[in-house]
Amino acid sequence: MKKSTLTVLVLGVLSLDVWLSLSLLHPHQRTIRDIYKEAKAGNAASQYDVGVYYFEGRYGGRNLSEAVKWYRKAAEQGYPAALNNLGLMYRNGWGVRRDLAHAVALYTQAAEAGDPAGASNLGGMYLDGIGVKRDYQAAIKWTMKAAEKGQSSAEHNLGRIYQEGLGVKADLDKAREWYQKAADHGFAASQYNLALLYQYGKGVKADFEKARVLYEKAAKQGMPDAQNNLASFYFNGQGVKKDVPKAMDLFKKAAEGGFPLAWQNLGQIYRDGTAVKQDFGKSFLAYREAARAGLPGSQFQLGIMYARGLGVPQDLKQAVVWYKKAADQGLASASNNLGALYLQGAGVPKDTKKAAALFAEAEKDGYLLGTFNLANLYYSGQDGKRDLKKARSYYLQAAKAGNRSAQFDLGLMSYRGEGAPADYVAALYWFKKAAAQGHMDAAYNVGHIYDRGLGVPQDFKEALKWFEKAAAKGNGLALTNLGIYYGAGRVVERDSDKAFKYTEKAALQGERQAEQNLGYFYENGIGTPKDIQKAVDWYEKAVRQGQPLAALRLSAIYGTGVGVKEDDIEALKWYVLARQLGVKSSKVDLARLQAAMTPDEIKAAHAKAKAYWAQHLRPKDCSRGGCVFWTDMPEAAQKG
Amino acid sequence: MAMQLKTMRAAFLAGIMALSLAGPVLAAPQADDKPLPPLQTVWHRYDTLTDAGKYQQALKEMTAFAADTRRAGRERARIYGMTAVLCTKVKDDACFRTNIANALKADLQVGHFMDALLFSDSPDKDQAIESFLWLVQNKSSMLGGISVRKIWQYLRHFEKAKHEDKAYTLLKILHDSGYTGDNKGATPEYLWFELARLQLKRGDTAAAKALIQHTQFGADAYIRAWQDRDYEGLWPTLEKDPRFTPDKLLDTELKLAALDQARAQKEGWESWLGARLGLVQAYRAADNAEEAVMAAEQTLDAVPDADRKSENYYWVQNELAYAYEDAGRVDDALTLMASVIKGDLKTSPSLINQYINYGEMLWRHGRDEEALKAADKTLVDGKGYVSDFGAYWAKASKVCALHSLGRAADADAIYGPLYKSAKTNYSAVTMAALCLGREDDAATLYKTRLASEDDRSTALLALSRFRTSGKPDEATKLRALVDKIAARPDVQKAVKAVGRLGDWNFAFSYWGEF
Repeated sequence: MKKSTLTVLVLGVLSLDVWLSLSLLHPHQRTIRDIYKEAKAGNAASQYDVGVYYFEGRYGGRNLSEAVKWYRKAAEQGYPAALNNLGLMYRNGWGVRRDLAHAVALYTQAAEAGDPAGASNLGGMYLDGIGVKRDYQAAIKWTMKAAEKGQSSAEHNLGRIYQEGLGVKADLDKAREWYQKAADHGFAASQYNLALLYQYGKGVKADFEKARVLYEKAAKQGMPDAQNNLASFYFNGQGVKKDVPKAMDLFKKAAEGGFPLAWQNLGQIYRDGTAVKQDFGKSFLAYREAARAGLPGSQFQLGIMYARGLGVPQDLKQAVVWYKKAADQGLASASNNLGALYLQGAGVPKDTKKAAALFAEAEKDGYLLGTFNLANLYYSGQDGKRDLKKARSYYLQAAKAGNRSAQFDLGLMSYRGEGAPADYVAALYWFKKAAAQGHMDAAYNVGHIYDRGLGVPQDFKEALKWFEKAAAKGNGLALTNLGIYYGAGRVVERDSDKAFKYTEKAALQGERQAEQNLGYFYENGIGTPKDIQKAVDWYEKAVRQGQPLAALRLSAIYGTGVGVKEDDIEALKWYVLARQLGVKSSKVDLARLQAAMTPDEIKAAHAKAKAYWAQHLRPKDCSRGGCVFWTDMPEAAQKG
Repeated sequence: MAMQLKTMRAAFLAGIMALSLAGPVLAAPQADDKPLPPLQTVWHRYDTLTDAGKYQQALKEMTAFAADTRRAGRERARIYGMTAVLCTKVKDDACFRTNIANALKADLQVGHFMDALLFSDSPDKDQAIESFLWLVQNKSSMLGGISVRKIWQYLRHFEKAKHEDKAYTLLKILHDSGYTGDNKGATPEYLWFELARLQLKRGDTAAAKALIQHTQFGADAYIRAWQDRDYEGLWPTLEKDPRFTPDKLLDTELKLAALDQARAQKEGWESWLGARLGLVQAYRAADNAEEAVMAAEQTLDAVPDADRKSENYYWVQNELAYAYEDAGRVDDALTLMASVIKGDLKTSPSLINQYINYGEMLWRHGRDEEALKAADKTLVDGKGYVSDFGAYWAKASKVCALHSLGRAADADAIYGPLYKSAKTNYSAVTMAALCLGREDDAATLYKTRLASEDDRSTALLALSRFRTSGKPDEATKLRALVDKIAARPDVQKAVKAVGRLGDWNFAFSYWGEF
């Protein structure tokens, strides 16, 4: 008599009764009829067999309550296999109301009668505390009995027991041995667990090849976890030659087999677009499956896709929904992103308190971006409550953990004395860290500190090195300073061509100091032929960005009439603008300028200056201070 | 020696610079056709001959240059001064005196400056000090060229000769002149601190109190004043003064360190590193290991590669290792020190200090075998670089490590000679005695130190209690024995005779802590 496994085999849709009636027509079916007859007559083994046929739906549709009925008949006669199977029905609520305690009782009877499956199942109940108080020793006792009789599930469970140290000292060697036994008997779960041990080198030397072979075995049996992991191996070329199409095929099998992680993997593969053609649509669908199955990582990714409109039309409300699901499961990145949406009022009403709380959650889990965002929040002072000390503290945390932006911002706070007294040496340190990670502005700032000797000895050599680094990445201020260094021959040999080249690059980026310097180069023919008109153009650009010395140069040019038409009114206009921009001048200078001018001309010049100011120099945003405002000069001062 | 000479010349020139900038120096019209060599040429010649050790020739030539009356008095005085230095090379006191006298004749101010500056080499030290006082009383702009350290040399000279009254007079004149320190930024607080002590000795408590009230001291000075019986007259004042609570003192240390840094950064990387070292030490004293570590790491990171093989760079690394210890990061401390001592002693002889400190650090953390190797490295590889004082530290570490390893006989073999000549380094020998549990020996050493003017201050510090930082190590365990010794009646009597012991609520890390 065959003892069946629990695998459900659907062979047909006809009922057993129909098959029985048909059995008269075929010798094989006559045997079934006999079994049925024997069962009815009270033969326990036959009753068990009939129970199996109903359970498996063999020769007809599945009928779990009938299965229960026939199992019970056999069990009442003490038939061990029937006791076990009936226990299973009660364990899972198949064809009968679930009753875990009763299942344990049935398993116990089966085990005591020597049924290895019953012993194994009983061991499992004790192991996991199902229907009975957890008792590792009892679990080990019954599982061992079953395993000694070659019961694969028991062998597998012993593997688990030793791997996890359940009631025994964890022993990976023993775990591996038991898994191997079960695996050799074709037990897919053990093949899978053993593969994991080899994959991660737990208690055994890592061996991807061995792991792969085991995954293949388990995968062939339709185990989705194994299919997924095997797919990873093919995808990454671990223990096997890389085979992306095969990997994709396996991932799909695993996914369709109900393994959510496989959906997640597919989502990632389609999103990355490195191994296969990028397809946000497919990625979205795959992530959605995994997300619906509850995987927080996929819920988070889905949130991102909704937020950015990747593979799906942008929908910030949906982004919020999915971020929240992932965040509720403790995913720090989701908390962070959700916080960002609350901060921006995107997909949800703006709520900075909520944003702060979410960033704080992410921060507590050590999520760097959360720490950084929290720092930003305290720094910018949402709701008017700035807390520079807290901002600094969080920037420091993120900076120490390597966040480049935090390193830069901390450098700035140290430089400016925000949240603590100014500390240039600390600023230098953090700017250097950020610069080492490619932060161009940080590299310039390092050079600036060495150039000015702020907190450290002035060191032009070191400054030059850092300006060169920043200039190589296009930093305008660094380019400007290189122009100065080469122009002045500071720690380098004076080179007018280089000076001009660097200055021009910077000026073209709109650096005001460079614009002024370029004007000077054109005015004096340094590194370039003299060109007063170009000088005038660049000086004026510089003036419009508030450079007073450029205005002074324009005044001189128009005053002397070299390269341009001499124009006293223009000369005075620019002079007045220079003073407005902060140049300190003497009455002698003013008197000299105005010596040959009539009162009307003087008045016109001042009016022109004021008009120019109004058009080009009036400050647009003084919320952060530092604005220079037009000051009307008293008439007496105007006359000098 | 050549380096010493150049340094002095540099200081001298620095002093002269202030004078030179005051106005153009006009050379006297010359009758003969032999050109007057410019001063730069004279110095170049000076350097060339002294570097080659040709002192007699240098003397001859410099004398001729100095005697050339076409040259301005100030320049001649300078040359006479440098010639006096050459006299010390040939050990000719009369030559020295003659040249100083000539310098004074050529230019009184420069002459006095040179005389004061060359104090260490002068056969007439009192005269040199008189020259210094001349500079003070005449408010000479060259006064800043005499370092505060040099002034301490004057004071020690008086102390040795038992002329406390002269020391007092010098300090009084200096203080009353409004002296604010030297050109390198060293300030005179500790000089006034010494003046207060002398005032108290003369029974002038009121003057001492007034002096203290107008001077801000750091923790070190305050502790010394608090514990030393010479300052007993000030004890009530000090204890009531709100500036001298531990928190305020540590705050002051940090402020002073910051000021020192601002001054030092104008002088270049080595000076700056020295100032930053003070800052790290101030954080450690405040038991703020985290800040100490950050300050030290940031300091080291700021220094360009080309400037990293310097004495103060190594000291900052050493201090960072100590800060790591304070923070419980022993592995980091040991790893750092191990990397520091990979440097070459030939090019960086000051590394011998780190050799010594590394050995002791290893013993402190129970790495006794390695400690022995490190101590031997100091004594063998460091031969010619390590002083007797430093060698005693290395030997003391050996004694302690051997004792920890149970090798009593080996430990005793080293300890015996150390104890017999403990004067070479009392602290090191005391540490060795403590390691071996030789209470009586340690007590004897403490009493000897307490009875000595030179050593009693460190002995009082060593016997006092401070808050220990970081995780316990072997040295910290010895503190229990020190407390026991401090409680002995004979030691207490010795302490009482010269001062008192403190129980300070801050960490006070001092390498001579035993």
